[in-house]
Amino acid sequence: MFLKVQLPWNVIIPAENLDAKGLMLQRSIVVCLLDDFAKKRATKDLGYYLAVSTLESIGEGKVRQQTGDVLFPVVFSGITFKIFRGEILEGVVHKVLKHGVLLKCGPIENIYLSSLKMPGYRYVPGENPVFLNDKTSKIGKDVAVRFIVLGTKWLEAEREFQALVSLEGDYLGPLVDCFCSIVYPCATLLLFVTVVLEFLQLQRLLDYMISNLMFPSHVHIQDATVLPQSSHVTVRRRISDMTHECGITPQLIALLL
Amino acid sequence: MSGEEEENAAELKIGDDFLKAKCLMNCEVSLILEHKYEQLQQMSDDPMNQVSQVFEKSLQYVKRFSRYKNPDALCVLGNLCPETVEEAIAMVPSIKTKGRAHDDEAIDKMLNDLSLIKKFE
Repeated sequence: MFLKVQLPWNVIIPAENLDAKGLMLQRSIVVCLLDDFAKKRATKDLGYYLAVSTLESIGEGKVRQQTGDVLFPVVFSGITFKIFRGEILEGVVHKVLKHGVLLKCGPIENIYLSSLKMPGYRYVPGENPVFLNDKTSKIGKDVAVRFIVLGTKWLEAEREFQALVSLEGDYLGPLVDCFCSIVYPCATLLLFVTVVLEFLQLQRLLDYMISNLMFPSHVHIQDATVLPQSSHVTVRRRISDMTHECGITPQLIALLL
Repeated sequence: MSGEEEENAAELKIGDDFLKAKCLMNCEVSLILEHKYEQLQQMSDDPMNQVSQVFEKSLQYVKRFSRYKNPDALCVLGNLCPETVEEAIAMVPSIKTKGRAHDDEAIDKMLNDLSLIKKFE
């Protein structure tokens, strides 16, 4: 998850950057801090460092004996990203292997989902290998998947995290927009119709269509006999997102019509 | 790290290092990072030099997985805790009019969810 944290930090200003004018000093402290922060990349305890938001305070500078550099203790708040055991996250598949898939989630590239932890899915080889289950839900390249984190590992040498994840649990699995590639021609048509309907503000018809036509084809929830109302909302949201991503704007539809 | 065994996000335990930390929603992170990105672009001619890999990947991620386009409306709903659909619409008209088109049923469901969270907190 993304966290807003307060961090104490030590900034070392080389002697040549010291200036009699106070303003310049403050500036070089900030520049140094931003540089150090970007170089640091990540730590085991706090996770990946994303951005500095505010500089809270600058402490009393101490001159170092040998070099004449000045060390300033500062406190600032910033944003970090850390992955925790037991956390539920969403990521995107970037590699499909025979024994599992690799996902990325924010700055973390190596998130491994083993086939042993994907109950009901079997490997289908081919040019674009995928994992399929009986309910025609698919895990392939570029598919967004919701998963639970089983364990994490910090690699000191690379300064990065790795994680093992699983799909064993309720409401875990590929997110609905993957159905697009399963019944692609059909979905494209449906998408177009929904966009037109959305444009024409025919909400009731759209709702009817989603609940009656689309649900049977892409139930992404494992072992769910009754689809909760919230899935319905999810689909609606996904459609809006998809249309945004495809760059389909009301103006374009107006043009087409 | 001390207390590593007790770290478990499923129970919202995230270790002593984060006692003072505040968890952010993807949409909030997206807003902050976008702003930062613009700042960096203004500061240098070649923005790609300034932006770290971690930053870039995170920005991509939060853009893809931001569920709310308007976190302010969400904040208002959370603070005011409306009980009926009419109440919610009266306070945050944008949930009705924003192109996202929540129907009454969806809003009602959302409010129910919110009150459930409040109960179990």
